[in-house]
Amino acid sequence: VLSYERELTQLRPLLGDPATDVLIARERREVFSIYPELRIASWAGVLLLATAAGIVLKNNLDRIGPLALAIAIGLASAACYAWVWWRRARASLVDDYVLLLGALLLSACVGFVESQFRVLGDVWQRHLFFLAIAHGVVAYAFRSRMVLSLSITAFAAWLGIEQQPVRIFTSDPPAAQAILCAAILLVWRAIDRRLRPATDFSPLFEHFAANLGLSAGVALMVDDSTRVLGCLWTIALAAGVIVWGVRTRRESFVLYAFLYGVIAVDVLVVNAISDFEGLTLLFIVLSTIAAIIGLILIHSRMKDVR
Amino acid sequence: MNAQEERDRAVRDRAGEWRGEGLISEETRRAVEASIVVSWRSYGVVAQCVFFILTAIGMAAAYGLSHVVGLPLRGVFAGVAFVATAEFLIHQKWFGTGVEAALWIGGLIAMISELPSSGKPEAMLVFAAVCAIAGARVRNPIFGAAAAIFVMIYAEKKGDLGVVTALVIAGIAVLALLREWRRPSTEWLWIVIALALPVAGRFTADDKWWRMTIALYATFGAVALVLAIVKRHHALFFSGAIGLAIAQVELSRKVLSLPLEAKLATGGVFLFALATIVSRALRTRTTGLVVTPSNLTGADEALSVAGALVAHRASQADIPSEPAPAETRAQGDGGFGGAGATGDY
Repeated sequence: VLSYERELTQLRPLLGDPATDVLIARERREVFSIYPELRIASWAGVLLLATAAGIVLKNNLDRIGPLALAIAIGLASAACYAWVWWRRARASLVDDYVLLLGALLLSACVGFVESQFRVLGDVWQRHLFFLAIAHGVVAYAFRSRMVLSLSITAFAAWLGIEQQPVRIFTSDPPAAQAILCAAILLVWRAIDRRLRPATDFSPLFEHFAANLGLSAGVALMVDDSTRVLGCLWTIALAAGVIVWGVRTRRESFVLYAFLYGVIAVDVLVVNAISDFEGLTLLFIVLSTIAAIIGLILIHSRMKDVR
Repeated sequence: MNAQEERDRAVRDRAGEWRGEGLISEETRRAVEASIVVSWRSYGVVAQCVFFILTAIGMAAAYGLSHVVGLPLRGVFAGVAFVATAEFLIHQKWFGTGVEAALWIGGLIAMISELPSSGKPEAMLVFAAVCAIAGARVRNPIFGAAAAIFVMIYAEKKGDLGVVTALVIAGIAVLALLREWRRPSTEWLWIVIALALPVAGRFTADDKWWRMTIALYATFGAVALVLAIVKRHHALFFSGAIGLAIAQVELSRKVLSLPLEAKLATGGVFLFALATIVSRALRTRTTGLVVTPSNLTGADEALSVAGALVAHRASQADIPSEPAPAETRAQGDGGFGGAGATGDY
């Protein structure tokens, strides 16, 4: 175990007695929160139950029939929502994950119904849009960022963007859709902030938008004909995200935008000098050193802003 | 960086967490940070990862360049250059940036790349030594745990003792976590070993020893969990949970003849019930074990969203993204679709 009791005692004049007493009680394990353990147990429970539901739908189609399966999963989802609604005045950590389970079951149910009964016919993809709306309404009703993330991924999927991180780096995902989705998310964020000034959803929109925009550039780099455009887009957007990250003191944005930017610069230059192997490797060595120095300077700048 | 400097850095980093919890004001946070002077350049975990990746890319390119120019004994030269650079940076008070860690481990790996490949199990001990030396020099707990994993692989290759070795090392780490350490990096070494070794050991478990595997993991998990409750340490809770989960998975795989979905559902209901019962039992407590909201890392919220997306992916595996044409798909042939799902039908 580690104990910073001595350091906390020294900081008492700065921290004040109430805060110091609380922190020292923690160091002595007189107060020990198992909230993180319960959170992970609840998440694992959701993971297992939602996976089980998926397998039930997949393996029992012949035995039980699609209608009965859809009704069963739909009722289970409704039961989860009803439970959370009933307990909304005294919601606990576990209820957040019951809500997530309800949302996952709803996704499975709607997808299953669409695949089996083709309710929407040729425009079957619209079920993703309806799912995005449903998850969005639930997310706002219960202020759940986890459910909002499902809404955003359903919305992105409706626009044709795969959720799988690997897929987005192939030439298959449509870069234009990713950029469009990022733009819509930024508009959504602006409206959310306007209507709910105390919103805590903004970081989620920002992360999704930045990653969609930047990965769209990387997707463009895959194809020879759009490589230069992809590099330039990524460099420009990464620069913008870095500036915004420094101003708002958001280190994570700065870090991954910087990585995207370095990849784009390297691809752009290596694309031009790829016939000279030694020169290419030398450039990568030098660019890496420059990138490390650059990131250190940006980090220092962030500290200055702080 | 000596022990006190490591502790100062840790306390300084915690000031932001205290501010986030509302325990102190922004002004107090600044005053705390200003009062603790840390002369070493160091960064948070995510930034360290980025610096590590950048440095690794640069080292790989430098090694490739030495190959292109036909440098003899390129592994030795590159390795010496990397380690010397790392030592220069440490001399310049870089510690915990990710750069010097990458240079140290990369340098040693470059050096041993010049050794003839024998294919013997003892090679694992060489990798273990590399990780241990680099880990000790830059006080990186992940390198230390990697060294322990290589020792476990050696024991598995040499005497089919992977699980036993993993749990013995994890057991030592669990016991080590019971005593008080001065250096945060030492504490982190034991934490990473206590969490990683039981998982790594599972991959060396043989079917013929399944009863022994279950017994060992169940014992390890139960002991760690009891110690966790007594000593109140998050790592012991998670290590114990890992041990018991592996024992349970093996037990259900070998003994229970239920369908997979029934096993998963039972496990899910058990975890939900456990979380509900414990949170209800402790909800009014203000001392001892409590359930007041607290974060384990600085990125708990981001991790919970990532966890939701992982659960979404897992729940919709093998699901098609679009329905099949009616004339080509017989009833009962397919899966189903979901938000952003993909798969075959």
